[in-house]
Amino acid sequence: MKPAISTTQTVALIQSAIAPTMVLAIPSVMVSIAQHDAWISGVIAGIVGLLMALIIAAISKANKGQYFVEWLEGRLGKPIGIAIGIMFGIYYFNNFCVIVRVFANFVSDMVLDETPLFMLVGMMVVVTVFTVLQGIEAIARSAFMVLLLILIVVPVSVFILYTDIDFKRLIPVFDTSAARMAVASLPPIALLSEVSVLLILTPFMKKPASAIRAGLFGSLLSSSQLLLVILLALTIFGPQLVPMLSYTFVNVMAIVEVGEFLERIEIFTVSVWFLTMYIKLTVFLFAGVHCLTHSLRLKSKHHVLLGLGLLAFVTSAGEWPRNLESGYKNLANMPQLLLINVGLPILIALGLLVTRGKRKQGGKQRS
Amino acid sequence: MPNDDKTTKQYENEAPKKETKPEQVLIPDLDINIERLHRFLGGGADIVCRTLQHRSFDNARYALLYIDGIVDGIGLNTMLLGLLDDANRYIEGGVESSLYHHLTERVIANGKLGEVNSINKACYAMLEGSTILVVDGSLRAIIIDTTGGKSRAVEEPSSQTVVRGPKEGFTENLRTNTSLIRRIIKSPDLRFDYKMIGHQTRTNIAIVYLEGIAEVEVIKEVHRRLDAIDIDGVLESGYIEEFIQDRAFTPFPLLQNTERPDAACAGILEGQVIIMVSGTPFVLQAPVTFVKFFQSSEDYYQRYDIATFLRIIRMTSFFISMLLPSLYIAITTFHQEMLPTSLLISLAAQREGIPFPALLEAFLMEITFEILREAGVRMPRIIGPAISIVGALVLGQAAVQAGIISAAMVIVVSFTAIASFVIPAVNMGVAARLIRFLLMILAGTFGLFGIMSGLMILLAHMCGLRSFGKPYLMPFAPFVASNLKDVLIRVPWWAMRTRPTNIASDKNITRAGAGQKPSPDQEGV
Repeated sequence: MKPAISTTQTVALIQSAIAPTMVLAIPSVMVSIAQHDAWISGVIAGIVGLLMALIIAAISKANKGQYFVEWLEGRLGKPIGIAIGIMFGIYYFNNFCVIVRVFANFVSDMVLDETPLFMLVGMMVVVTVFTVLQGIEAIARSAFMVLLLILIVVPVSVFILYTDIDFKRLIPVFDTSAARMAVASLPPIALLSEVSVLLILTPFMKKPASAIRAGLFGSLLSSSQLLLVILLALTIFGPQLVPMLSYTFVNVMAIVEVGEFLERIEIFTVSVWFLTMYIKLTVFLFAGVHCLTHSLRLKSKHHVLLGLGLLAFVTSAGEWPRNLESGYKNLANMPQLLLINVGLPILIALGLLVTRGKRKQGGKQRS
Repeated sequence: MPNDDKTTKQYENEAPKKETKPEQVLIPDLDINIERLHRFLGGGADIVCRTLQHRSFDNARYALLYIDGIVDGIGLNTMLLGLLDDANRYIEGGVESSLYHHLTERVIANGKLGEVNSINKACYAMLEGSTILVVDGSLRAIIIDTTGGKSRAVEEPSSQTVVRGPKEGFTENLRTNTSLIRRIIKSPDLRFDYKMIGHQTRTNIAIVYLEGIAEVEVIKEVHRRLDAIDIDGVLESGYIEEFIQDRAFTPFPLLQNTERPDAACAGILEGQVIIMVSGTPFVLQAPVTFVKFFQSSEDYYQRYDIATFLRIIRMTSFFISMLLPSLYIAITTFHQEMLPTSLLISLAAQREGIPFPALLEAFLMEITFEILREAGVRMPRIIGPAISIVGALVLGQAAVQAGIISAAMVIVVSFTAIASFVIPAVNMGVAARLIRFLLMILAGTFGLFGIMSGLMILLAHMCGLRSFGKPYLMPFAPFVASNLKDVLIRVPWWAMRTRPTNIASDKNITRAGAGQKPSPDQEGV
């Protein structure tokens, strides 16, 4: 029996695939470009993200329950299907390695500066491989549980930061030029394009017809988190200070003090973020394994997973220099992200349009 | 599920699945039959044979055979008295066609009679506690149900005590246990399906459920998994549990157990299937979800507000029991900045001079506590207080004074231990104990990042677990809003109108009528 995930779980998976890296380094970059109007860039990015989600979901809806690569092979022909599958597989694997390394660097910078990096990388790969081994249903349920946790943590965080918030730091509104605001919205747009993972997840949905809803809500939740972090950072630190902060949301939480007994609680926020990051890693590794297994006609997903896990460990631990930046340049590799997440889906959509007539003819012949 | 289903046929008094001895049929010679029965059972002083002769049937002989100690002595003697009286009486007005028919239809005063034609089946019936009546010249033997013997009386359960609620507990006797259920649920839909597992122990198993409320697929699955068990003996329900749980390698219990009839009945009413095993007071309940292990039967007897409060306390205790030592290790080793300065100075002062890192210190204390706990369970009760003194004073206070461990660590370990006893289900407490050690190692190596990594593994593992096909983390993942009324909070009974969906059959989900919320009498206002 094919595993089945609910629409809410799909929303959780999509937001987990986008938000964790987006809130890490993007806000400071956006504020450095658009100053106190960075939140408007966030809104723009959110709107574009919704449009991208709509397009991806519309393409996904054409799939009536087949696995991604099988579906492409059936509609666009075997060679094209396999080629696209391999491209997606390599993209997800490559991104998985980058994110593991950035994540390891972050942990090293923040808390475990003396721990050898390969140990951190090893730990992350082991946890991710274990989670993927549990199957997509378990991944989706975990994502939902983590989303529940976020929904608890975020309002509490805003509440305890309330006294430090000063909305005057946001005015004058629309002070920055439209061009700068547009440029500032590009990095989040690139990351929001990761909603394309919906193409791979739709066949596992109980109701594939609600792919549009899942895509839209997933994208909306992600951009809302980004917007919230930007707003908090701007209203607490102001536009001059934010660009100097490496990890904006961590710094925002670092200033919290409740009475004289609760201080430096950012580690708890970061701990919840660790979980969301693990879900992101799991989604990416799952997608990579899924695409490569089906494209290369491999029989055992478990062996592919273990092999890729080992390869990812070696790659993440040894490929980049020790002082690799955790910045947005590595997280939001715009050309690559837009090419795979926007360019390829558009090509798929065109291919589907071209082959639509053929499919109908074929269908008539078969009947 | 209808009872004529193949899977639900009565298994009582049947030969085991793996019959090792060749089948021997009864022959018309009484002496040879008795000799064969003796030989089949290997002789023994407890095998009793009483031979009688009937006056009215040309002094035809017949014999009663039973195993002493496992039969109901009073019932047997009453029956024997009737037989003796009948044997010495001359029946006027003609007799039955044979002594066999005469005995079965006119004399033996017993509600449950059976008939066998083989030595093997007759012996297996004797081993169950039945008495065999063999008549000279007949190819059949009569099985008379005289099951009895000494067994423990119904007492208050020792492992699941309550302040308010029934005080009856299950016993080791299966028939007593089924009667305890019958007394509570007086429904004609209550079903008892019997099986026998164990080539040597031939242990009787009863599968209990409410037809129309328990899900048919779950009942079938329980039957299928029990039928697949191939083992020489079953001495406790734990044997069965390890065979039928959904996943072999997990620290979490995938079946619930209870020795309280009221808790078992509550499960039955919610759509669970109960598996009773002869020889143990612990019955198994399936399917089960994670949150079920934090529910106590008392929750439903006390007011909903205190029940809810206690549930939250139990959940919190579970996490304390699992996480507190690892959090202490992580914070004191890696994240000292999280502590208020005064507390940090106090802790640093305590740890000054302690030769071990926090991880080793915690391990020492936890292992010591585990040894103390195990000793407490195994040792004779009379020396219990002595061990308590040794544990509390010598290993606690003296170790702190000697500078081996810090006082804060003693507090952490003690609090953890107390928290672990709050969890109502012992098997879930065991899971927390085992996971605690794994998390301590992760905390000592990677700090809070390690703990979160461990929790991620646990979360993914638990999200993948199922109990008889039902997701373990339901109603959280997958999210079932209607089932939340009896999870962290326990809503009042008048608001709990439905059974938990996905556990009970979808066709019969309503358990209470609408509009029962108490409201002031209009006239009295």
